[in-house]
Amino acid sequence: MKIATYTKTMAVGFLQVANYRTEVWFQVFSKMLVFAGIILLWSVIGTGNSGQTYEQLIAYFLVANGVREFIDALYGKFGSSMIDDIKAGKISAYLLQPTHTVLFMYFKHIGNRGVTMVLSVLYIIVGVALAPPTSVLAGLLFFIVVVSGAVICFAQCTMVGSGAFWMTEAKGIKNVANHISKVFSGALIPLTFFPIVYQMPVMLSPFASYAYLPATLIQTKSIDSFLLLQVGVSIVWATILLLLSRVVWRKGVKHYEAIGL
Amino acid sequence: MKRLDFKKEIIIRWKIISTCTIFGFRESLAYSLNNWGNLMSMVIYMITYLIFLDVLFGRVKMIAGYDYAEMLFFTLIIQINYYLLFVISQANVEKLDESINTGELDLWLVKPVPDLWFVSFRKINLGELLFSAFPATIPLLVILFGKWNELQIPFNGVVSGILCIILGQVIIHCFVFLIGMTAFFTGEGKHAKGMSVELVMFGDTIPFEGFPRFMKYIGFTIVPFIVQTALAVSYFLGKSTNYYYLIYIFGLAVLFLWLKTVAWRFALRHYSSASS
Repeated sequence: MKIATYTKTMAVGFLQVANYRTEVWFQVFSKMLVFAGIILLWSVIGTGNSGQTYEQLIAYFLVANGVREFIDALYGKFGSSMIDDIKAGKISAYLLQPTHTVLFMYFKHIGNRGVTMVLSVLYIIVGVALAPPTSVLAGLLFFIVVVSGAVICFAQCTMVGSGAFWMTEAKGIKNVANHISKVFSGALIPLTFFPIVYQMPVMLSPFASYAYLPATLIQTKSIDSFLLLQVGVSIVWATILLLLSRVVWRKGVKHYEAIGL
Repeated sequence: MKRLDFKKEIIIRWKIISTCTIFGFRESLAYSLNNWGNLMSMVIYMITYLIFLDVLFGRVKMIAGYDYAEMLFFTLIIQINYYLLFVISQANVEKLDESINTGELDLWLVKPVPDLWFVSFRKINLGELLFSAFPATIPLLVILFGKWNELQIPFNGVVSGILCIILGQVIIHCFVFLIGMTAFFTGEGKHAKGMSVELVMFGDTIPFEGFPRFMKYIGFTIVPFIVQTALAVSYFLGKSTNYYYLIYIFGLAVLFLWLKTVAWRFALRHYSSASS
């Protein structure tokens, strides 16, 4: 299948949302409010407890939340749209099309998120401007981690969304995944705040690739072996979860055929 | 208005609210699997939030003058306010948006019921409150009861705090509704509602004492985010003893109720039905 099919789907998705311009602005403002809340909280907590300057802390949260939003890990909305499509039976039409169904749905979803993604890139740019990466390697690893984070999020959403093949309502499970990722991704609190005993498992979890790891890579002064290990683990997580999501999706489609088509 | 008419108006409003609540409750029972999903989501949210607080207080002793036990109490009031907003206001603004978008509102406007009252309370999901919100708060309550002795809650504070929650809920209900009514002009109100909820919950980020002065002004006037949680907790814990605020927020609640009515009439005059 030509890639143009998917890019056109993405463009249509974007136009659907862009039709309601006022709504787009409301959406942008909402996102900024969420971020303002985090900044307000940390301005009260103070920088003394994090060992960072105020500027560095803002840069951390800008990059962490920017990346998390960019890859759709903030709310995992791809999972929601998949659940809605399965519930409403729209999936039947997608399955009949000569396209890769999950990719088709994903590109359509990316189109819908166009405005949000532009805003998140702005967050990242401001964050990087406040605390630029100290080496080319750090910048390169940042991009690798953003890609692996996006793949992990895609796989997570696919698995959660596939839950709708078995359940009438899978949004509860989707929210569970979001709540866990909110704290354990480092978007709300840097993972270095966790007690030493829990730091290692939290930093090596797949959620760390959503926010903490990319933000740390941008701010780190030197790339040590543990950071390289985290990047490696992130890639391993991305591969494993992607394969797992394929298995879950296929099983779900078979189940759907059994009861529907 | 004559006394008899007034009585009739009250009775019809009570009938609307009770019928809609019973219907909403039955609806929630019909989809019991949804309740389990929501319950699980809310419990996990509560647990992750408690982990967040625990991790935070592993490094800091106080946040804006509030210790761990006080922040747990603050969290409890945040939860109460969020669930009330979610069950009463958010659900109905969502329904209003859908009705405008699909043209379904026409049907409701021709019915002999007080339209604004109806659209304000047509869905009150009591089931969500009983089967999801309350059980999800249990982990917080368990921890909070263990720390109850560390809290100092004066009687005056309890009365003022409860008043703040009630008046604050009235104010934020009107505010969310006012913003939601932009759907009359834009045709779509999903993100408008989302933004208004983010705005009114902004005051739940930190305690009242932590807000800079200019943000308090905003929170007490054009964007009323500070009353229902931040000020209420400050009263409950005896940190605020300025009771003039109560008179002010009563006036603010009346003003917002009036604004909601005026805006509703204005919006209806500019409503071009999607179904006709």
